[in-house]
Amino acid sequence: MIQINHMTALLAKNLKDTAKNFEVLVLFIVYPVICFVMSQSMGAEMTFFVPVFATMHFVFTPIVVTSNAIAEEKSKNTLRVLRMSGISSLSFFLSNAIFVTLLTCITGSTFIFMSHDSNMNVGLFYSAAIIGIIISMLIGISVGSFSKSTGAANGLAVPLGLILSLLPMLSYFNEGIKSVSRFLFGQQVFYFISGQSWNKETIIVCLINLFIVSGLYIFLYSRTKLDE
Amino acid sequence: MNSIDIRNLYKSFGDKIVLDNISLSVGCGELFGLLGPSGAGKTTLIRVLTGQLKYQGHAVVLGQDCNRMGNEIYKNVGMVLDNCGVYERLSCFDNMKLFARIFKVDNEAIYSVVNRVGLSQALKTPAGRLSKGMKQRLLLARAILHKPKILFLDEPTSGLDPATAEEIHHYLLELKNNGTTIFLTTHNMEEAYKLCDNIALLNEGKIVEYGVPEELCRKYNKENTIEILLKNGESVTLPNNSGSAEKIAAYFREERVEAIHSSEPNLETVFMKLTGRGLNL
Repeated sequence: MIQINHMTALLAKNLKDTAKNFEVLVLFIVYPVICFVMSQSMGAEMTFFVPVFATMHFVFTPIVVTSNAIAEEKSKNTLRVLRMSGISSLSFFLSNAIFVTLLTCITGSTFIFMSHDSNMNVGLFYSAAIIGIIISMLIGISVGSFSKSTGAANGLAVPLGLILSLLPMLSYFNEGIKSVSRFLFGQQVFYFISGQSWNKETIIVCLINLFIVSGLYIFLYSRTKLDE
Repeated sequence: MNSIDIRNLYKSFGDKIVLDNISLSVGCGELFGLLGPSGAGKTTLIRVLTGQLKYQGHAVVLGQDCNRMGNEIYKNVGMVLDNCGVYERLSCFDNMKLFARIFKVDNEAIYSVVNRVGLSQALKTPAGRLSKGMKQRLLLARAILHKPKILFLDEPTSGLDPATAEEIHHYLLELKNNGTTIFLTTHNMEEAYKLCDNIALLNEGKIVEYGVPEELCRKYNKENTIEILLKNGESVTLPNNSGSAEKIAAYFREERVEAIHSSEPNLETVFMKLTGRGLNL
């Protein structure tokens, strides 16, 4: 059961906590900043760099931020306190999802201004962002639920995030990688941001990815409950 | 109606039985103490009663089955458990504000509770920088913010300095007098004796004795002796009856008495008599 006051309480908490957590705050701005630095030094290449860094921002950042948040809530026993204050799993999940989606989209909006592409489809850009963020968050929640500590979560989330977010760039140079990468949602996010419209393959790949990570999350969540 | 009703409760982890046929009741507005050494099953019982662990048997808190606790019951339950954390980067006020929003409590209630537990000077301090005593006060303040009907406290004064522990004791008695049911676990027999209306002694998952602390102490005062420490360092133990009166009077007449004590078993000695081991193990 979702209660609005629970959601607003958690959103306010997330905002204040993130503002005081430098390591997490950096994750929200690192790729836009790198892209901006690149745009200042090699403006002509931005049609390539913006999709690359935007993909990394919308895939890597939610995975690491969410896994870190869940693992920290677990290891510091605050998740238990929230649960025993009547917060439902759905309220907790949605408030985190809204927070991460909003913050990633707001900081990610800077890529639109950096692209120098007047024909950029903003709707397509944000739909790519939201698809990337949602699937990545589910991966992050699974990693966070599975891990015993924030260190363990980061140890798993960072390489996983890097692989998923870097593959689209590598596939640009290597056809072998591309043949694998096109089955991953990160590649589809990259295509979207590069200007490709919706097509059957994109929808199927994204839905299968969403289905797999949802199944993984449900499996890990039920395993955690049984352990408890 | 009782706040807590437990009948024939069992809990095991694998092959190890942690709670073995527990039955007890805690009335509304009662301050109940569960005493036992480390590993006796106190924390497990509190985790069962707060809906954190599944069990076999019958356990009801505020009319709700503990195996099927919904989110609504937590509006009437407060808890200070060792597995309850705080948001360390957030200030004490922000920690309280989060739960004030969850329970729809206004800021005035925050200031009132924080002031009562002596935390008003630390409102802007990040919770991670608080001392253990201050953190315990914050946990207590958070647990009572929404005026719960029942409060679960797992070793609330463990590791605290005597002054802080004393302040917490005063506050618990105040809460009890205002009608809050308090379920307290401790291995501190003085704390239990001073605070509790009823206690249960738990050993290896079984309740070995239950009752009013003073009555339990009297019940197990079988020795009934008087111990006299003489000025020469000699210790004399005499039965507490008329036959010893002349001897005791003689020691006093000869001004040989350094100290004199009657045997008054405390809960520690009651527990030792029942189980053969102490509470602080």
